[in-house]
Amino acid sequence: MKRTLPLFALLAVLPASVALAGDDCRVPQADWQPRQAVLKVAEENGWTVREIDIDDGCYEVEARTREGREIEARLDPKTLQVVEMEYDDDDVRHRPRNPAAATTARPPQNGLFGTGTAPRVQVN
Amino acid sequence: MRSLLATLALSTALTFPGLALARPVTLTTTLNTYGGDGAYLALYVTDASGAYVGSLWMAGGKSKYYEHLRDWYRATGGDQGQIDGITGASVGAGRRLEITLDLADAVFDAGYTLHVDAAVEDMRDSPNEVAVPLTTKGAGMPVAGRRYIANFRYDL
Repeated sequence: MKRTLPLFALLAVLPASVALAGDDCRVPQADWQPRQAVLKVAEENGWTVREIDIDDGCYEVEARTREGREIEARLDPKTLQVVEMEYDDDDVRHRPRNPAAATTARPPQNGLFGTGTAPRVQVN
Repeated sequence: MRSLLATLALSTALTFPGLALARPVTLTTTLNTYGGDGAYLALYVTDASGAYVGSLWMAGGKSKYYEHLRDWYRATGGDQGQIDGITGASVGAGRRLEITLDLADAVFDAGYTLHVDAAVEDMRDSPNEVAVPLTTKGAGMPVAGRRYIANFRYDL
């Protein structure tokens, strides 16, 4: 899951005007705001920042909101507008999930789960 | 002939899951102390021709990372319907994941293979880290992983 270094490597060798395939933000390196500016935006939003990273050409901020929710916010590196907000429990809320404890979730009908009962899972 | 019977049994399982024969199987994945974040693991099965059959478990809840489970992602196109109801948390370094499920009898001794893809944030992806043929003789025998997985075994 390497995601930061390859981007830096590409930025170092490509002209600033070249759009990177798959980028979400597409901002020339010269137009990037510094990390201090990202921290300021986070502070204004009431976020407690855990990590600032770069992903697909955007700033990515891992933080906790005033309400105590864990978030990952993607910011345009030039405007510092939030272009995507993801709550850490989004995938949990949007998809049936089978926690380690006993559950009533049903597995997919792929023919592998002979009786159709959910797996029992524990992590030691 | 055996392959044909297995295919028939599996297609029966797909059509009438309540009628399929199954046996309880425990899948145990023990991770190395690799010194990174929790590992995403995809456990899935392919048939004798190498074609994807289905998933057994997804450890790791953030879908944006699933593309790093590269072989699983290539086989499924990232279809999250494949892991509805069988998704849990990522597994920390040095921890042991134990999954007990009723696995269709038809997948044993019929050329099916259980695969484990692994990925860890900011570390190298490890697709197909484990590939173990599903045979009754192979039960209880640990298989070493390559990077994040110390060993994997299944017990009947």
